[in-house]
Parts: sequence; structure tokens; C-alpha cells
Amino acid sequence: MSISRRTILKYGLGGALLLGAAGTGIALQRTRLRQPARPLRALDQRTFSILAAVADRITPGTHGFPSAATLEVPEKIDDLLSRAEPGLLDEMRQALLLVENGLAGLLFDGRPRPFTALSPEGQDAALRSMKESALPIRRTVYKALQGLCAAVYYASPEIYPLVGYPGPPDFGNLAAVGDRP
Amino acid sequence: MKGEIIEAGSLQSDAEISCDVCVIGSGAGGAVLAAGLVERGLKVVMLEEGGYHTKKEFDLQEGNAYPMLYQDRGLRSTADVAITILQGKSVGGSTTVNWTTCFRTPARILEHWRRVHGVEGLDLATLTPHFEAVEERLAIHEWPVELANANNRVLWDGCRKLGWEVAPLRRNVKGCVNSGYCGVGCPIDAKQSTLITYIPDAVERGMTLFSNVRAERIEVERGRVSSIRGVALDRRTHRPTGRRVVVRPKVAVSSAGAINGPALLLRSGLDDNGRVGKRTFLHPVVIMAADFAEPVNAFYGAPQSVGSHHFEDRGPEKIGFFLEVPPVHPMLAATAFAGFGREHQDFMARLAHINAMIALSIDGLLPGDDGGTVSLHEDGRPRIDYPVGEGLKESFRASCVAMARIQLAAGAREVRSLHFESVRIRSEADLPLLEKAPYGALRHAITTAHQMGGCAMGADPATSVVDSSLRHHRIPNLFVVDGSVFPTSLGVNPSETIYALAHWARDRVAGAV
Repeated sequence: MSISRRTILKYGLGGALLLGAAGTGIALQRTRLRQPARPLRALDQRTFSILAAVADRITPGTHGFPSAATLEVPEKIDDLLSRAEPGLLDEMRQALLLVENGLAGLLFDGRPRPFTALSPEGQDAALRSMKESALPIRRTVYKALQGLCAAVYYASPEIYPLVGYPGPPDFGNLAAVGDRP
Repeated sequence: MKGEIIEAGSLQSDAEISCDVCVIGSGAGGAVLAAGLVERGLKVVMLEEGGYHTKKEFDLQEGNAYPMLYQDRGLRSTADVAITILQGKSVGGSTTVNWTTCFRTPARILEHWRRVHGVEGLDLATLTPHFEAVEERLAIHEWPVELANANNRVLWDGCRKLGWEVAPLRRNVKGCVNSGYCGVGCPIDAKQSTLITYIPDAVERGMTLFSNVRAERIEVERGRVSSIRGVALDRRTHRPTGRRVVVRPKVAVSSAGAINGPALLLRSGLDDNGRVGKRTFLHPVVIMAADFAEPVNAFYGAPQSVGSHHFEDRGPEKIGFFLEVPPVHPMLAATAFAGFGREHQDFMARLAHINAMIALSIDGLLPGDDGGTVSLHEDGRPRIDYPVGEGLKESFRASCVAMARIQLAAGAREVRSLHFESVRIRSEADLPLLEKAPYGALRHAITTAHQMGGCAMGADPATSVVDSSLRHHRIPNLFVVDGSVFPTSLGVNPSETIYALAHWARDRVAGAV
């Protein structure tokens, strides 16, 4: 994912406004912090907390599904990002700060509070607003975070029974899998 | 004398080595070429950015496989995140993780390259012995329709009911047990990837392969490549260890693929005509998901065993497309479906009943369809931009309608588009909903597993990067041998074209030493 200055310029005034909002608004807001289950390797506690809040709405602990927090999805993403290119990590940090930013929220959703301070319903509304936004960069941020959270969550073997996936076959019993042309 | 595979992350000191040919990349192009060069008695050094991973490490868990075997830990995408890019990164390149579908290059594509792009000497007759050679080594053969899984049967049955063309596919497998895990590394070495064929062939005859080395720059002095400068990467973190690998070859070959290859040339300042990274093609993919009453279990069985080219030629003004199916494992499915919360859970809960179908648009054939661009981030990483223009949007729309019709004809209870706001179709009467839906970047899932172009071959040095022998127009001891030399996309899965092109290129590269 890329939210470089060049990309922002490509997206024009809306993108520049968002970047400015992210830059100036961040210092004024207080993120509701979460404690990671283990020491962080890539994110700081603030961006981790934003990610944790997003992940819990992308894959909530409802209808028999465990929450993202239960599966330590944000911690697993932190680990993944620690092994990714540093530039990719920077872009993910920017995306998370954009989601959290109350000024950007005010401009686009009429919500002046940071994402982490919203109710679950408010967070869902904020995510929906990003997903349906006319501004491509907001959809970019949504897609990047949705993809990452959903990928790590559904790659967890604990989820397999809930989606009817028996998991990889046992290759100790090759005959049961199929023929060998 | 036998060669070796050296894991560069464990080097205790810098390495400097001279050779006849340095091949950068170990995938379909680099491996086939290298095996032919050592056969001819040449000293070959290969650099591969990814790690050397074998079946012992392939535990078939998506959460382990994608970070281990794919570019950017499985996170590669266009800069705007609109297009997810599946591309391999390990010894064997994308052949380690592709879905095994093999096609010879269509004659109409070769003719288009000759007529429009001035490519000389690459016709079907010339390439046929090279197709035959790689088909024998890689055990490429037709996969029996009787072994198609239920996911492929939807495409087969639906097309036949509609009277549309559909045919069995050919796969590069030997002793395949039809498990369905080609995309996460074959656990029994049934897939005849370069990892277990041409790479061991080349090492057996003396090639030295450095894994975990990123080629940073190709150095050129007095108009010729003098060295390749690489950095060793830690096997686990993929971060530079501080050790350097410098190769001084008589001839250098970029086989780093259609994204990393152009990026390497750009980092090296080898873009005097401004064509490097231009006309990058992706066969952009749109997906439809169908819910069946009976389980489909699309996570099991050969991922692709039938395909349809019914819509490959839709007339002179329209972008054609072809149809296949993907494996439906939980992680891939969860990322393709862009919803969240309850809606997403409901979709995923039906996973075992979902048939997924893909349409691959054939980009680059129409005048003005220039595909995308590879450029560089400030830190030197490749950046991919791919604008989705009106022609492609029209192709996406037609693709989704065609797929929905096939899925309905095959008995689907409901068909869903993978729009950010999913369109749900229960009968043909609902198809206008698909027609009216928005198409384009970040309106629906778009993926690619086929990266092509960016270092196009052609007769004109002003509009291409290499000539028809794959030699750089300006630097006589630099070749490009991979899918980046395609002047357009192919309209078929590209691996066999790359294998055969590399096989054909062996004499040309050897002759330059």
C-alpha cells in the first residue's frame, strides 16, 4: 500500500486535505490505548491500539466467531509488519493514523472523535463511510486494513471449523485424497 | 562439478565472484535459461531474493505460506491497493506457488507482436520445439475432466449448458494427488516447478545459486555490464544483514519478473528511453462467488482443471477475457470479499458451499491500452500503478455478467459479485443489477497472478527495451529473460510461454559470452 506524498498529490485536494488533517489533528487527540499481549515489534502502542479497534470491527466476536482480539490478530499483524519492508510499515502507520484522526472524521463523517473512542456502532459507521467514500484514498485505507485484518483472522486454524473448512489433508494418507495421474 | 545453493543470509563476509553469466531470478525464465547455460559448459551464478524453501516447510497453512513464499509477505498490491498482486518470491519464483495451468503461446498473440511491435523470429514454428522440450521436462499434460473438483465442474457444466466453449486444461504435475494446495507450495513435489526441476538440474551441473540476495544495481562501465551488486538478506526478517554479494559476469540476465525486473533496471539508471516499467500488464481479474445448496469444497482438488476462452475475442473495440476458477481457501476468500462484520461472517460461514469463478481481462491488445507502470518508491521498492480505464471497466462488467450466467446455469442458488457493495443475483432477471453496478478501482475486488511487460521486446529502440533476441538495445551483454519482455498480455496463463522463451533464449545468451 502506498500513501506517499506523490500519491496524495495524485488524489488532489481531497487527499491533501486528509493528509493535512492527519498531520495537524493527531496531536490534539487521545487514542484509547490497548495493551498488546506481547511486546510489539513494529507498531507503537498507539497505532497498535488503532489497529486492534479496527480489527475487532472487521471480524467481531459475534455469532459464534471469536473476536480478532481473542485470536491476537493485531499482534500477528504487528509481527508480520516487523518482517515486511520498512516502507510498507510506514504506509500502514499512516493509514491507521488517518482512520483515527478526529478532524478527518469530522470532515467526512461528522464525527469529531478518534476512531478508538467511538462506540462499536460508531466504528462500524466510520468504516462503512470509508468503504463507500467518493474519495479513492479513503477506500484505499479501508481496503488495506480490511484485507490485512481479514487475512490474518481467517488464516487462523481456530476459524476453520466455523467456515466448514476441515483444514489441509493429512498426507500420511495419500490414497484418501485422490488419484495420481 | 556439482554446484551449490548458498543461503546468503548466513554469509559471514562479503562475497565476490566472477562467472560467465549471472542470472537474476530463479523462476520460469531464469531457471530454464540457467539450466541450458550450464549444459553448454558455462559458469553460471544465480541470485534469488527469496529464500530456499522446500516441501518440508510447506505446511499448507495460508498464514505461513503467503509471508514465506510471496512478494511483500503476500501484501503486494498496486499503489492504491485496488489490485492485489499474487507473485512468488522464493527459489522457483512464481512457479513454486502457481496453480500449474500451462498453455502454449497463442498464435494470434505472436502474430500481433510481429505486426504491431516488430518482434522478429518468434513464430509458432520457431517456438514449437521449445514448447515440446519444456513440456517433457515439466510433465505438462492435460488433466482429465473426470478429476475436476466441484468448483471446476461449475465452469464446465455452466458453459456446456449455455453452449459456450470450455476445455480441459494442461498442468505441470507428476504424481499429483489432487489435493488443491498448489498455491501454498506443493507438499509432495508433484508440481513440476523450477524448484524441483530446472534449478536442481543446473546446480547438479555446477551452478551456484545465492538465495536471500536482493540485486540492488546493475553496474555498467563503458557501455557494458561490469557487475551486479546485491545485498544479503536475513532468512527470517528479509532485512539486509550488512553483507554484500558482488558478481562480475561476462553476461548479465535479468529474470526477476515483470515488477522487480523493471525496478532493478530503474534503480540502475538503465532507462535512457523512458520505456522501462511502461506497458505493464496484469490480466486483471474480477471474481464472482456462487452459493450452492450442496457443498462445493473448493479448497480441495486441482485448483484449475478447465477453462473457457469463449470471450477472448469480443471484437475490435472491446477487451476480451477468459474464464477459470481459483482455489477457495479461507484467507484468500476473506480478503477478496471486501465487507466486514456480520455480512462478512455470513459470507465466510458458507465457504464450503461457495464456487468462485475468475475472469482475466486480456490487456494490452487494443490501441491505447497501455496497462500500468512500474516505477520506484523513494526507498527503491517497486511501485505499481495501474489505472482502470473505461475499456477495462466494460470488460469487467461483461465478465461478471457472463460468470453469473454460468453459475446460475450450473445450479447456483445465489451469485454474488465481490463489489464493495455486493450485488446479489438469484436469477437471470436480476442480471441488470450487475450491469448497473459501478466498476473500477476500489469498487470491487481486483486481483492478478499474471505479471507481464515492462521491458518490452521489439524492433524499435525508441519504444522497447530489448530486441527480438532479448538483448538490451544499448548494452550488448545484458539480456532480459522473463515475462517482462512481452509487448502485451497473452490471453492465457503465462508460465509456459516464459519457460519456452527462456529455452529458446539459451543459445542467444550463450552466444554472447
